[in-house]
Amino acid sequence: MIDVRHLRKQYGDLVAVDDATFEVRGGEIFGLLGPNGAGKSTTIGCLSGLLRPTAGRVQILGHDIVTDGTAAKAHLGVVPQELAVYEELSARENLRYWGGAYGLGGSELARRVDEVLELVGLNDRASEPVKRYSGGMKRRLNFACGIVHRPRVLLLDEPTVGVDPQSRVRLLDLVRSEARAGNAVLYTTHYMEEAQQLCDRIAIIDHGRIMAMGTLEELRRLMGERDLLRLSGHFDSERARAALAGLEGAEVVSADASTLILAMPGAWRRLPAVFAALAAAEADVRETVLTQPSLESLFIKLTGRELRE
Amino acid sequence: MSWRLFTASLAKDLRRRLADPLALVFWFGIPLLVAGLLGLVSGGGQGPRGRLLLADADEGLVGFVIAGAVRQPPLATFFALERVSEAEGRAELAAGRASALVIVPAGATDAILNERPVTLSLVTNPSQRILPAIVQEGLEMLVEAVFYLQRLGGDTLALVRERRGTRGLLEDERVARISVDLNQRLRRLEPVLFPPVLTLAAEPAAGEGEPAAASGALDIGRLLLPGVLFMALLFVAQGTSDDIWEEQRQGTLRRAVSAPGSVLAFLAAKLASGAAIAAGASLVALVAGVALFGVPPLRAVAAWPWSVFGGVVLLCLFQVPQLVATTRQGAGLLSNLIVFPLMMVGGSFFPFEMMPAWMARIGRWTPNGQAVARLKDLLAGSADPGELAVAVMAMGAAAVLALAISARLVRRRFEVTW
Repeated sequence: MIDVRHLRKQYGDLVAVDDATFEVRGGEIFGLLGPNGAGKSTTIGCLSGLLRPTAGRVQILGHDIVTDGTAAKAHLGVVPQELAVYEELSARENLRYWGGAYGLGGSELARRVDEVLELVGLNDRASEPVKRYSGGMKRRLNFACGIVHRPRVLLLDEPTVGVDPQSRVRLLDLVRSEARAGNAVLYTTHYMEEAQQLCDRIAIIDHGRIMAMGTLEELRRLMGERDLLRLSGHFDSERARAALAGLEGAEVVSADASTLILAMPGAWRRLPAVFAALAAAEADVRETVLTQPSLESLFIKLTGRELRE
Repeated sequence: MSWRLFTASLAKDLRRRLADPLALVFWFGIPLLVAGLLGLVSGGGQGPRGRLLLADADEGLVGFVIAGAVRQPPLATFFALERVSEAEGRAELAAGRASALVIVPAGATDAILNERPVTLSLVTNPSQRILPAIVQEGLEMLVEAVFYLQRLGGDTLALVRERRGTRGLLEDERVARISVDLNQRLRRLEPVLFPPVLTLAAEPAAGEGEPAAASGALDIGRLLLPGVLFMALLFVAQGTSDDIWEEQRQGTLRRAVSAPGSVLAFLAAKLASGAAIAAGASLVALVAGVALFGVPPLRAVAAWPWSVFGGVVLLCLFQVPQLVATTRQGAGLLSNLIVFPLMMVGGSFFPFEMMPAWMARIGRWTPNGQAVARLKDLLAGSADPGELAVAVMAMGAAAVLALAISARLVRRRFEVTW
């Protein structure tokens, strides 16, 4: 349903999305996982027709978003990261507007508005101005506005940012139900747990590039059985690298004057050897964090930094 | 353009407007508020004052009577009188710095007292319309009054004339004779058939300024109403065009651009809802014109569509600076930089009649100036269909161009702000 080939978006010298290729099938939740500024929202912008790609191709149900934008957009439901609702109107008026803008009308629109209000749990306050709603209620309405016209493809840009736990659970259930209905869902997030719980497939994106892509299991396999060891202190990075090269199976993921990240199997058992090697390189270790294989450790291995940095 | 998106967006924008009734009252009340403020600024409900120059070579009764009349209401409401030489007066008029020059020739008083014909000259500023006409009408009334005085009391005036050149008061006997004489003449009052001995010759001044079209009824409402109405519409245009920033702040503009309809439809709906406000504000102003300033109702009805059209054109034009700016504050500053000069030269703060000729000429070519000028014609019942058609085409073309530019700017907006 979503077919992205070699997508590139460039602003002057800044490459926001670099050669992204992926597809999302009907009934699938595809996660784009990356830190802030990784290029997730720009990718959504290109997919929704807001931004014109510098290069590459985006197709929604076979319609090119640039050359056949109207047909492509008709199948799209977009839930932007920031709220996009009229606060002076009621939830019902908001839904009527967005439904009408996508071509629904008459009794069909009225029926669908009632249905969606019920779905997101806002029917009892549907006639109140949105400005009186809580943050969680606004988020649910934001989601409802994206699905009111029954889109086949849903683009969700971090829809749970700033949402209370109760509303988050409800929103994630709604996303799952959209996928169960056979719709394709592209879901961006920087919450590791959310991606793990929700997504059928995940692409890890950083600096505009897709670093890895697959199911959760496939991604874990990429990491192997290696633990991730993060050491903080004072290092001569070249001497530290040289000292650690002698340890079997150890890979220096990143090294600078204050942080050293190592991937190695059975790291918890081999800590004395690591410390001895670093002592020989005159390193001053102040803190050690050992992480077992996970999506997060894969992200760190791939990008050299943590997801929340 | 997507008709479906247009109708949905129009309904949505009208609902949003109705959700804020106080703002609507403010929009509709602007014309009354502005008219009230202008009234206070120009002296408690009175109109702006022009300069009336008096070149009195006679230095006798005629100049005294004219000066006295101008310093009394109602002429004092409109004019400040200045005595000048004829040469100075003509120079001032040629420079467009006065409304009219009245020239009283030497020997005018003697001529009247001796029933000899004499002509007063009125030289008017051709770039002004209302104020010179007020002077002309006032002087014509004065000339008529002198004429009837001549007919009624020529002999009585002769009694006064006999005393001229001697100092002191009239004797009691002579005063009694004059009174009895006047009383008898009033009893014998009949239609007067003789030609007047005092006439007024009016001419426009040579120099700058275009001749003004013939004017109808002279009232302060007609002078101020068109400018005030379009001042209100400029405020409406400036205020409602800011709504695009509200859409951006609420995130709804981004969602709308992602919808399958065209941006043009979204913007056109916004303009249509703005047009509804412009229609309301114009209606209030024109009804006030009818009720307070005696504007003929049929002319007000004819002027309404023009006012709404002018308002829509201004809305289209003001959308562009809102979208050119990269911040809401910048957009506000930019539109202020445009709106106030437009009001100053476009006939809203001051009627064209009160402006120097060069400024009035520039002002009439601004979008609101053109709208004000044609509205003035419509209210005066002197609109030229050809001129009106040209204005509709020129202003309509500018509005369409502005709308197309705005749609393009909206689409490009997300390329830099995403």
